[in-house]
Amino acid sequence: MKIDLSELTIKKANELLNSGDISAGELLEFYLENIKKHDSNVNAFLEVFDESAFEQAENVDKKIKDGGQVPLLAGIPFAIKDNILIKNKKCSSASKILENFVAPYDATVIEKLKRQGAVFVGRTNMDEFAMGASTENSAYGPTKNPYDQERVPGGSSGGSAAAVAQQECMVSLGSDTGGSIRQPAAFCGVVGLKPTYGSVSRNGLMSLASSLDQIGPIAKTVEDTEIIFDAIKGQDTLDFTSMESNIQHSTFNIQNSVVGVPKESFDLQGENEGLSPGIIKNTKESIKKLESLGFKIKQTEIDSLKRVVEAYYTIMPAEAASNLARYDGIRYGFSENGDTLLDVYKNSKGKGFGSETKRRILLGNYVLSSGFYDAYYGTAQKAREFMKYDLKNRVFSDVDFILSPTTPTPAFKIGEKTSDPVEMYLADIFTAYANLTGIPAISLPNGFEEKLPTGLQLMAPWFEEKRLFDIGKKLEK
Amino acid sequence: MAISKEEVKKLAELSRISIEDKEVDLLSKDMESILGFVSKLKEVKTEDTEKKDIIFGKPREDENPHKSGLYTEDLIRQAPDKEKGYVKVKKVL
Repeated sequence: MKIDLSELTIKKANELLNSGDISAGELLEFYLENIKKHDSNVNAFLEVFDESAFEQAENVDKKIKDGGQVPLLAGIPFAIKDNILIKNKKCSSASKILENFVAPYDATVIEKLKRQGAVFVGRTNMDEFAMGASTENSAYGPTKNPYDQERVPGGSSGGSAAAVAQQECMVSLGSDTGGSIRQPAAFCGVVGLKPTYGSVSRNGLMSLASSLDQIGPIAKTVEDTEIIFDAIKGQDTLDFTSMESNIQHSTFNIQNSVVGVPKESFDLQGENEGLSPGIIKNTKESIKKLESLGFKIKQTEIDSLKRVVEAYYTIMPAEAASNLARYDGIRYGFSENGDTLLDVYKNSKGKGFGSETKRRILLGNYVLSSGFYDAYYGTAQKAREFMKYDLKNRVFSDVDFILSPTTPTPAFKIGEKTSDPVEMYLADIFTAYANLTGIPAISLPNGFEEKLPTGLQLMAPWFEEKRLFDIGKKLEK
Repeated sequence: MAISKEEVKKLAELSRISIEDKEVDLLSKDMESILGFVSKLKEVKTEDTEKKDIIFGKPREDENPHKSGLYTEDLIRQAPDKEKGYVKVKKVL
């Protein structure tokens, strides 16, 4: 029997592995072949770990041969975004300044996956330090969208999304600070989850904006996404912002639940200026489908959605400027010499950072400077607090989900938005809200506009990922 | 919100980033447009924010430290310049 590996889900693969119908080595071989075939064009990977991946696969095969049953993620080929540490592997955040940095320890999520026997295929391309929405800001060249190589895969986890879409790995991990998992998932036609802030440990994730960053899965199905999320979540003593959820999921009945559609993102009656025709059409169709499945659709208003990007692009650079101060040419990776110690810092950062990174560091230090702190950072923090308060006390007492398109348009052309940073920042318009408020959000494949995939985003209250998986599975059918 | 070239240079200095002259022009233009954009935040409603309801995780207890020096070698290995288990820098004083 010839098995079509491109259709494999984690559960199916696990059955076939345990029954001996395929080996972890064969499974890995399938994806490595695809990398050989496609990655010189797509550029999803910064490095492929063939050797250690085969060792990991062999260990799984040995266990099965010895008569053991292996857990769900054993032998499953993962691609890992280049800002998540894997012990003894290079990890560069796609930056020149960390060109030769070798991770001295495993991120908590990696440790959890290793314990199950997951296979790590390689590290994937991204916008430098996760700053971008197109993967064009990588120091190692842009990743291309598998559906149209003249277009971006989205970002910053563009490599992780493209690798799944191009069958160069079965599943992957990305990180999401303002949409960096969901937006590329939408552009590449795959599923991406930004978990609740605090549900997945950030230990071993290179920090961009610590109050917004979360690691999350990218996969082809909602079920795979759920399996990975369940494997990586949980409180971790090495990340004090991580938490155990005390939600009793059984109390929530998805039947008759209410899906809110904020007018600011998607007007059920109106023109929806700024959204492309395919996005409007596909969103409407999914809303209809939800109605036919028994969900109540309610047009809501969330006024603060209008200023999400502004708040995000104030808070994120402020935190980034502080977090990136550590890359000084002294402790890690790349160093550029100078006459004095100060010159070493300045030259290393000047030569080691790309232009978007420099822009955000300067911007962050500007909004934090004493004369402007209240006007920018202080106001943004207040706006953020209001968003959380409003969600908890008003929006979620009225609706069980919030629905919108993941992005206003499908994937844009490479180079189309690089000259105008504000234009690029607007790619986060529907996604950054979940980061600012901490709630979980999932992007689901939602049809095509011509040949390009589009995405549908669903958000739920804090720690209600299960709700997102339930509704996602219903929509998927 | 105009950002002069001098301000950009000063910010870069404070951020300890050397930037070339041609970068200064571009940065001042970009920052002006970004700051102009984010300034719209002032129109946002922020009432009721006093009733904060932020959830924090629990910091771990500061106990059972690992053996001193256990990770030193792994961490020092990443430094571009080092000597005898220390990171080496240029003269500070």
